Amino acid sequence: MTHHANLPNLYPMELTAEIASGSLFGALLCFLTASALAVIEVLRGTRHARIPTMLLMAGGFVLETLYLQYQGGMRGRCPITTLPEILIFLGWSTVLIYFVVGPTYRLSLLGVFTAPLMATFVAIGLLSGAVSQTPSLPSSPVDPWLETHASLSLISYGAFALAFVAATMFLIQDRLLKSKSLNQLFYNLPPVCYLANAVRRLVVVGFLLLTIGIAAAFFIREFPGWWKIVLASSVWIAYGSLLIADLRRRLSPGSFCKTSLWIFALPVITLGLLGRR
Amino acid sequence: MSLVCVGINHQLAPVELRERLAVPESAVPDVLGRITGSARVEECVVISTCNRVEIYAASPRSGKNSSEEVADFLRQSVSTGSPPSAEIPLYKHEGFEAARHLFRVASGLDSMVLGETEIFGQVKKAYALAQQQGATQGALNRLFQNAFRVGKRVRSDTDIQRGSTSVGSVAVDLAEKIFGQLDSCRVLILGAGEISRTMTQSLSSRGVKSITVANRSIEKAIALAEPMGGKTLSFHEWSTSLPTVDIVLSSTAAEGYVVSPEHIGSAMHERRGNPLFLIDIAVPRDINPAIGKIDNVYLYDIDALHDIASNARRRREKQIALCEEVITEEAREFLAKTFQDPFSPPPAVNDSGNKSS
Repeated sequence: MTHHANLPNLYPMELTAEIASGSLFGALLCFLTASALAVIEVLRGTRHARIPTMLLMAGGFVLETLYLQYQGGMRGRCPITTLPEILIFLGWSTVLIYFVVGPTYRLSLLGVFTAPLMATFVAIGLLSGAVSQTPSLPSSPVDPWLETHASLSLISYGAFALAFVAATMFLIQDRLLKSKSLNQLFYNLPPVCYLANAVRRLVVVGFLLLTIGIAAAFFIREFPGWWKIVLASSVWIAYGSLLIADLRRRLSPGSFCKTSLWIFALPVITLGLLGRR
Repeated sequence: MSLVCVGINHQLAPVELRERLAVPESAVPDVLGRITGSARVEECVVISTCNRVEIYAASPRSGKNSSEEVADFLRQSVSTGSPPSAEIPLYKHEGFEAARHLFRVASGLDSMVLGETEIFGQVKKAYALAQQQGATQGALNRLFQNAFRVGKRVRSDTDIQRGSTSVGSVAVDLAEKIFGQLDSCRVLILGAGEISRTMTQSLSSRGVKSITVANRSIEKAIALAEPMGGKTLSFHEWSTSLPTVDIVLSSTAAEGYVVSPEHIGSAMHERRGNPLFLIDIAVPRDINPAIGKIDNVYLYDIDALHDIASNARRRREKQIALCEEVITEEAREFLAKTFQDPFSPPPAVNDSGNKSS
């Protein structure tokens, strides 16, 4: 029995540590296979793997959801308390946003580029012991504002991660167009305008989610500590400044993408520090 | 049951000869009726395009007599001229070779521009016409439906169609890789020569609706712009439209650069982050090459476009062996399922995909 006696069992089946580990391992296989398909697609210059990639990404997402359900049961709260959990939750958020954004912008290769990042997140999670063997429920009642703050902030980081991927794709395609090197990758990548729009929208979505997440932090019962406030604020200020600069001066897509690549270092540093707490 | 294909194409004969054999669309029903009216032929399809005239026929008996009969029919229908009709070269494919030939035609492997797609539609149209006339039954229905499937398979499983092989198509492909769909793109044409017309038509065919032509001779500008619903602009005012256009196509006869980095630099401030695609097809060049270094500006001159088209042609040629392998395999399967052909057994295929005989 893995669930705490006081918690209602909301799951259709009994989730065990073995199932959670198996789910994570399955998700890793899904993302690795999608990554391998990406390499084959790019080398061969074909686009046959669009549906298999979507199915593999969906499979990885479902398996990650199973793991998060299990881990949530073990923690009695949203499972974002350790670095492995945070990475897997971040990967889950990124795939969630990918499914919302990818088809909208016809960014067929976004999944192909996202898969290696997701595989890395899950692999680190698995190697760092992401699956709890025993329950560790909170001693005091869970603060819903803290849960809202943490989960929304991480979902916003998922949007920023996807913006990072799309910005990388933009810069590659821009370089290929400028250098007139029309190779296999060029024909498979989406138009630069689609990519530039996707990066802008993803940064806006991420910024809005982060704003709500930070606003929720003001209602948390316990003071979270200044360093956390500084970290969260620095990410918010950096992306906010980028959006204001774009609004006032309308940055070129290249400048916007390059800046968003550099700014993504901040959420990564934040996650690293949170994981070492 | 036997299957034959008799015809002439651009590889075998020049246009003067091909046009003597051409069957206008209005005459196809009559030709179909006369061929299927013969005792030896039961089914028939006529494909007549600018590059080929081919008759596919199926009959319940062995193929040799029916192929001679179809060849005789074609020669007799030829108008007078030189060489005499009896000396007109025709190819005659039977059984496996006939099926393989049609699969090659539908896949664009027998076309003047390797891998082109227009022939696929032309074959479909010819088949539909024959079907309407009741000239096809089981054998040719299966053959042509397989040909369409094989044509699609070859195009999707190989790179035979990848990349454009003409300068105009390359420019349009590039525009699509910058802007996506072109229906909301605005184009400025500098110079109203023939090459501008061809390129503008290519852009129009992919959805471009807003075209502005600036030319020193306003009459020529109107002649180019009007048929495409475009506008004209006085030549000395062309730079005023730079902030609002997406594509600039330049082919003036000017001796120096017409478009300078200063023109583009100031326009980019007003463009609010929108990219600009410059196509310079003039010799000497109209657009200062230094402009290509400006952020968010993509500049291609005539040599760059030619290089891309040549690379695509080379890439397509490298795909031929792979396409032939797919086609031979499909033709063998088709024959095995459909016909018991006594005189034209499908040849074995070696590892490289070539016929061993």
